[in-house]
Amino acid sequence: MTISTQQPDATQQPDLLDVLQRRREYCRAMLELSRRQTDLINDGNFTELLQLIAQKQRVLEHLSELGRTFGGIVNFWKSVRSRLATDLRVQCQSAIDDAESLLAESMTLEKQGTAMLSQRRDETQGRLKEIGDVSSSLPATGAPRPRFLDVSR
Amino acid sequence: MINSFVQPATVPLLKQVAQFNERRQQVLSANIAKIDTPDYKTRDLPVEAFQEAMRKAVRQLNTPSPRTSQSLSPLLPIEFPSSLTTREPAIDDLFTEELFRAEELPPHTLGLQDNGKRNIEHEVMEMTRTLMMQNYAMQMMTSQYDLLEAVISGQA
Repeated sequence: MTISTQQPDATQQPDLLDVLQRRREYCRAMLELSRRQTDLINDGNFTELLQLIAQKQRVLEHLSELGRTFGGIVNFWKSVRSRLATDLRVQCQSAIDDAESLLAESMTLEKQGTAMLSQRRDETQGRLKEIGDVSSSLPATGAPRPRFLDVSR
Repeated sequence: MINSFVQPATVPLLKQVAQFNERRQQVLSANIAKIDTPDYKTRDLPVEAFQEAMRKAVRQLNTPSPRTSQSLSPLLPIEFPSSLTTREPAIDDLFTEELFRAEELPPHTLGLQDNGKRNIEHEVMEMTRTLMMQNYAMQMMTSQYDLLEAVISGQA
């Protein structure tokens, strides 16, 4: 769908509001997933974390797709907003503000989550190294004897 | 050679060996089947004790009993004391039930199946798995963060 930014087609203006509202809902879903992601990292539940990351990826793809509507939703909005009816403009502005607020909160949680996960990963690496050091300090016991198959000994 | 081994007198011995091997095979199969069972302690039959019983049995077979000697020595009409004429225990009596009973093995004889060692191996495997998941999650989250930034700036 392409429309001129100089003279937006009035029949397509509801589409703009619809796109912005759908974008807001995806931003809300994204925030919810970011919150759950924080909980899962805290709980050390990495199996579910990977599933959640996959869900987040789908939401981000939808957001990205919506962002490309009208050749770039943000730029399109900036170019047409002064010419929109007041009521429609207010509704669109509200959807955009909500989306930005939701995305900003998601960004904060994502940043915190990445830092937390990085810390958890360092801890795991540290524990693995610790075990490796302990194992290498133990006396060698030699190869295990094949006693289980040596029935007739 | 086989004929000399398979004499009527050795048949009870072979029967014991066959029973022991069959029973041990069952115990070892159970060990393998339960290798992943947490806290399962590996079991085995008392092999050393069975071998000792075998040695005794073979010695008994190769040593003529005093009563036999007495009957074969008409030129020595000496009466043996009753303690010497008492028969050795029967072959079957040497192979007690305990020899066929599975026992838990002490951890230090288990090699890779050692309890403590197995716990460490299990822990290392779990941690390595966790580390892989953490690394993958980190990569994904970093790329998602970049995508999120692009969405906010309207470049996505």
